[in-house]
Amino acid sequence: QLHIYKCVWLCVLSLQVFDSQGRDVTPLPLVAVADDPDSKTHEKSSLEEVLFKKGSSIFKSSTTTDVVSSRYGDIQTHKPYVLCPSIFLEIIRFVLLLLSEFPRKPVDKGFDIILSETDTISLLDLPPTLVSEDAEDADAVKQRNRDYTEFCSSKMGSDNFFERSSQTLVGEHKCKYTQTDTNKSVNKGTIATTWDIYDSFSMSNENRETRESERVDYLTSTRNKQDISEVTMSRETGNSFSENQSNLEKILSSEAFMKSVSIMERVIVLNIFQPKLAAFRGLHVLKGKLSQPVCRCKGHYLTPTLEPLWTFVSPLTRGHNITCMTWNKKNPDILAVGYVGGSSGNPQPGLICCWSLKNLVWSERVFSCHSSVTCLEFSSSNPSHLAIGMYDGAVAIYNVQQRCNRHTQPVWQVTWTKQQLQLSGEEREEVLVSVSGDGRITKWLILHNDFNCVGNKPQTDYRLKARECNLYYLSFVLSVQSFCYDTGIYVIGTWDGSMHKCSLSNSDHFLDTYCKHPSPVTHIEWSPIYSDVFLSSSSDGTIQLWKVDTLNPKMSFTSVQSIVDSVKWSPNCGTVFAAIYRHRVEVWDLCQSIMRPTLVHHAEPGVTLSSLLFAKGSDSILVGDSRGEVTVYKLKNFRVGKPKKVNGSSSTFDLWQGSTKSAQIPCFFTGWKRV
Amino acid sequence: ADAEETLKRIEGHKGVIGTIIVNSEGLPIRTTLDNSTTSLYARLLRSFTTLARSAVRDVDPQNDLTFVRIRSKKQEILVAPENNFLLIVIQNPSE
Repeated sequence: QLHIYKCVWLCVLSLQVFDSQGRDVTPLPLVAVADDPDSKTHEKSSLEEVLFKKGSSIFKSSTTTDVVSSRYGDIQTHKPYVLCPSIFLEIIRFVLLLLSEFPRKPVDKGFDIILSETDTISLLDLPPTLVSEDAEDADAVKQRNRDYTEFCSSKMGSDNFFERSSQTLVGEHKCKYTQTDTNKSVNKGTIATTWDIYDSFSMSNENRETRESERVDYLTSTRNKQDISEVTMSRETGNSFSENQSNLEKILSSEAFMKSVSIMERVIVLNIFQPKLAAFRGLHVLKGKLSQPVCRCKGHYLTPTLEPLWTFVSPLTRGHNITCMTWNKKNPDILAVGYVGGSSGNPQPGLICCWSLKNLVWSERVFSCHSSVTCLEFSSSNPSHLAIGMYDGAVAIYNVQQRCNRHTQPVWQVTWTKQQLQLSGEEREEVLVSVSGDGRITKWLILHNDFNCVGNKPQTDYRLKARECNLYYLSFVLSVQSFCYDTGIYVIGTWDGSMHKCSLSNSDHFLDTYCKHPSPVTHIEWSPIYSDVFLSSSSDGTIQLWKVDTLNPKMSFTSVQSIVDSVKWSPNCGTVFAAIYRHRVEVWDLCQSIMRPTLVHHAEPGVTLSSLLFAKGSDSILVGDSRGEVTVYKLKNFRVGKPKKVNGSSSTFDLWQGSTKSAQIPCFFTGWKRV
Repeated sequence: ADAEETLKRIEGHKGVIGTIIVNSEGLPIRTTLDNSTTSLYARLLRSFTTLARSAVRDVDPQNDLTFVRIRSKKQEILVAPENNFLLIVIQNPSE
């Protein structure tokens, strides 16, 4: 309950403070002292004496104080302090003396300490050198100033003063040395890359807890310190083998590894097959180590040949007969091939493989279905949907984006012998039409389009509803029906060799009938360039070229007496088509000859060729055979015409320029018009 | 399973000299080459991939490195970088 409001630190000057070890740690004075003759009595003199006796001198001496750096040795002598701060010291000392006289007062009684202010003590008085105009002695000051200026001006020439120079003594400089510890400095730098800033910023916006571990992983994996890796390398042999094994297992089973490894395989395969793929795409093929391009002799007339490029085959498909092939509508590098399971006649699970041009040795997707696949086609509005028709009459749709080998929904199980289907992409709706061996042509309407594979159970809402059952025709409807994309007319071929033109809108009867073939029609194909021309092939070994309006074939092509399995137009050139006979492939170019095929390629002995496909954008054909292999051939030395759609009758002649045999043809083609 | 098969197929492809899988610390955990070559490739390609990834991401931080191919006179080194491992294949494509 004692409060001291004066400068407490002064009181210590007359006291001694000892720390716990007994050392004298009394604080030293900051201000030096001047000797005072009355020093001896200073300690015991009373406060009053000090105050009143030396009042005036104290005031005066304050102005002559000079501050010198403290001298540590003086404290022991208890030098007296004459300076004004000692006044406060005395006051406090007095107070403490008073207190010390009452050391053991009982606390509850209490005592009063009265502190009162003294008068204002002036420590320093420096009068200003400015005098106000209104002051009393202003005139006297002015007079003095005037006298002074006069005096100064008269000093110049007067005899009372003369100039003299004097020299000041400059004391010698003395060097004083001191020693300190060096300041230790550490250089620290860091590089903030742009991505590091981005990562930190994006991470600070997210949950720190979950991201912390990932961030550490990422950082340690990307910011590799070379010396640390070297250290770990040297410790490699010391690592326990089991830890490495489990690490390996974990990595090998991860998703990212699967993806990396498949990309890696693609890259390697592309490296290996680079010349073949370049030929496929029609690019310059680089041969040899120094990349000298093969010079092409353009003027040379070489016989057209089929140059084999590569084969799509894998251990899974070996031995299965190939029935059908189709390209994906959206991504023309993806090929779907349907295989017959086991030997024909023996119903076994069929196989569908999706091959990609990026990986020529291994099919990316393999699906198995319960029966042999007879035909398949990709949808154009949903490019990942593949519709297949099977030997036992079922129609199914697969989603090739998923890797799971489960087909999405068996739509309709029917017990007819043969069923073939195609998917036509009309502009607005997706129509699936199937033709079956019992004479029914069914149009399917796809209602819902949900493909959810949740966990292991595919939940599909995909329902195909049979829209119309039309055309009860007693004989087998065997061949594939083609669609004329513009008008919705389709042509079907039948077992007895006649072909019927029907339309989607009219489901009751045929519009027209084309009769020419004596034996079953195997394939009908519309021309991709001329929209009202189609080809038909049949088992009697002939290929007929028809125009939609006329009921007689315009042209007919025969070469050997063998079943023509399939005929396909080339998508690049309007006059080229290819046909598959059992043991040979024939490519006809109508520009060059209409009597003979331009190119004949025989299959290897023992192998039956079963399906044919042209590659769009590249002059190559794909031939599937009974060994389960799809061989890609390049059409070499073909005069390829310009693949443009016919816009008017005048441009039909553009395609035939340069042809030597065109004299025979124009009379035929001029009658054609665009539909 | 599938990944293992694919890896074995890769090793059997024409021209492939060897494959190395390196974990996130830089230790090769699976390799078909000898130890010294493996450690050499692992160490060098690790820092190289880090540098390549840093370069790609510096230009656009939302981008990321997916594959690195180094084609030299004698061979081609293919590196598939991932967050926790590195898949290295050395191929001689002109064999």
